[in-house]
Amino acid sequence: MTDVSDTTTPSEPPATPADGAAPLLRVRDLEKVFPIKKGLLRRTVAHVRAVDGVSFDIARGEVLGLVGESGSGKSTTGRLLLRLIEPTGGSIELEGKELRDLEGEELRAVRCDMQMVFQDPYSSLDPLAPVADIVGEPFQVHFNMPRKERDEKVVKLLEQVGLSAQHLRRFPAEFSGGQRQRIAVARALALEPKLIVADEPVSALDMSTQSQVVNLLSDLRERLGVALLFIAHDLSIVHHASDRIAVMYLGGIVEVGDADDVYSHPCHPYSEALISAAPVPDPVVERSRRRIVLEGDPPSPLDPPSGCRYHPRCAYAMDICSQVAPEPTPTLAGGEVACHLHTSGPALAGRPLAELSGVTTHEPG
Amino acid sequence: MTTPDITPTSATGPLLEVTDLSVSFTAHKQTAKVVDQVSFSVQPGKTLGIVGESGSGKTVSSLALVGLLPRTANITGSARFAGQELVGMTTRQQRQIRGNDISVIFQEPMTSLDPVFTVGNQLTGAHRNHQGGSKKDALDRAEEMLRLVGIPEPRKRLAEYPHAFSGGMRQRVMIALALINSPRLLIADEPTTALDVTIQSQILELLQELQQAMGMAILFVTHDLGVVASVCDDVSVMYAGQVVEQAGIDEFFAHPRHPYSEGLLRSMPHSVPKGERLRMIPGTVPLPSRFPTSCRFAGRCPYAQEACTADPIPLEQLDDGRVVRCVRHRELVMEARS
Repeated sequence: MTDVSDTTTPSEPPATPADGAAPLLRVRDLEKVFPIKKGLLRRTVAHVRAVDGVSFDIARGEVLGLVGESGSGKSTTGRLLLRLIEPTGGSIELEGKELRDLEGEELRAVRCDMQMVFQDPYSSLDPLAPVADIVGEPFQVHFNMPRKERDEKVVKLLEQVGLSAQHLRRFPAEFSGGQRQRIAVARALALEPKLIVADEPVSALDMSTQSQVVNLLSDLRERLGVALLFIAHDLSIVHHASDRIAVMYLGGIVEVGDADDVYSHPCHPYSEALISAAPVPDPVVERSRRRIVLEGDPPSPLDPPSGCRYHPRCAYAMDICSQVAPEPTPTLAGGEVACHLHTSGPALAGRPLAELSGVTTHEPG
Repeated sequence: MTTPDITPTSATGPLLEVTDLSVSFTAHKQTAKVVDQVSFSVQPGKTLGIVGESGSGKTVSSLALVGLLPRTANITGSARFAGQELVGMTTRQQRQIRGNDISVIFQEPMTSLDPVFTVGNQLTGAHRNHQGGSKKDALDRAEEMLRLVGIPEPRKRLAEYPHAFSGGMRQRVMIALALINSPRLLIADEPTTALDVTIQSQILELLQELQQAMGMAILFVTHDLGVVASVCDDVSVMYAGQVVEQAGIDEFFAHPRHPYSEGLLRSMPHSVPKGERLRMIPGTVPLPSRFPTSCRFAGRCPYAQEACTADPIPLEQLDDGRVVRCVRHRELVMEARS
């Protein structure tokens, strides 16, 4: 039932940024199915649909936040975009060029435009390489640039991320976590990419250094106009850093929209629960607010629930939810939400969930 | 040392009183004092949050209380728990207390459960070690605990191994294990950091329920100020091995008194409107071998003056019961929001 076979007539492009210009990145029905292999012959016994029909756009210079729990497929999505792992379906277009058709030299050339920053700056930097080699490697790989020229470029990059020429010959172990993440950002910037995929770039950092890296990323966006896919599980940081937010659950995007709208007036019950679960650093707010405690764990993507994949944990679930997977519908605020509450039952028709408070939520649709 | 006798504390006295606790490690003839004269107290049935970044000494101080540091650790000072002195206890005495009157839950539920024993085996072992009794009784108690922490089909799951549980469920097993002997103090060291936020809120809710039902005190070690605001009664902020501030959470979140606390609160994304730059604390925490003798935060502090880099700064007890380590706290007016 999760098979997205009826997509021959592509619906309205979902999650288009506000302005009408052609997006930098256009992702449609992106899909990744991992085979589960068992036994001596490594026979495939089952499949995991890690990313199942994900569509979104990123405009030039835009920051799209991608949030979700572990296992939601948000990191897999990030890696699929750069083809660090191969998609099994769908399309990825960068400036109108289909990336899935590219191979070898062509693919390498496109990767100049898309770079990645990983979560853990302790394992993503070669401990035996000095900063000059770490940040300068892209120049060598792509342009075979001589050392002297390379080092000059590296110094410029280090200055952009708040480090300096004196760090050139140092090794990763001599830096703190925040500084290492700056080095990773400098490396990602080396080839002047149009898009950076940042996979949990601040999760491994201490709180006082998290904001240093978040600010650095927004500065770079402003100065260099680089677009960013900001993958994280901390909604307050994603809200702050992003123009728009996409919420993922079990391989699919359940809601996407303007960052303020999604954060303050979520339209999908899962977005609402996710936002309400994150504690706020204010004891007065903490005591007074209503917290939605989700029952149970996220289901296994090996055996996803029928219909809407969120229905077993959803406080608003109706009969239809276990039978039919909801299609994305537009929200009043200009985003999109995939939830039956907006089309059946109490029919929110794109209004925020908060407006449900007077409505009986368990009424069958 | 003399055998401590267990006397119940009076209703008003603290359950745990830590005074001038210091921990140092010596390696390659260099001594690093990673915890320096830390003092705090936990009231019976209440929750004290210890907040700090990595390297602040928050975990080392809490593990020192229950003898879980390596033998190379040199621990001085005093930690009185219900009339007993914890510092200097023999291993045997520590074992009697640990898992019984004082329990610990850790950040990583995968590494803190033994993968080669069933969950039931570990739970009944913890029970019978301290309480004795028959296997049957212990098994019943283990089942009761699993039910209490919200694990479905507890009897059946007792026979399973830790790998068969999800991260959130494993943390529930860990909590069941820690609480099976009804401890009076639970040390929770970043118990939800490795979990998703939705699972974190389940676990926090569970801990609060169990605390009310069992009346235990909790020492909650965390780096997350949101978690502190949601579960703690008091908070103690650690920086570079020292306590820099202790206060009730309402006062703390409304008016921090130490510049580091203010910096932390202000660097949260909640404290600035969207679109504005996040506030930052410049620089990084110094290494233990390079802790200055004067104020350890002075190098990163926006309010630092000459007086801050001259002498060691004492921890001052204020009239309103708050504690702060800053020479300028009387003249500075601080806000959590900018």
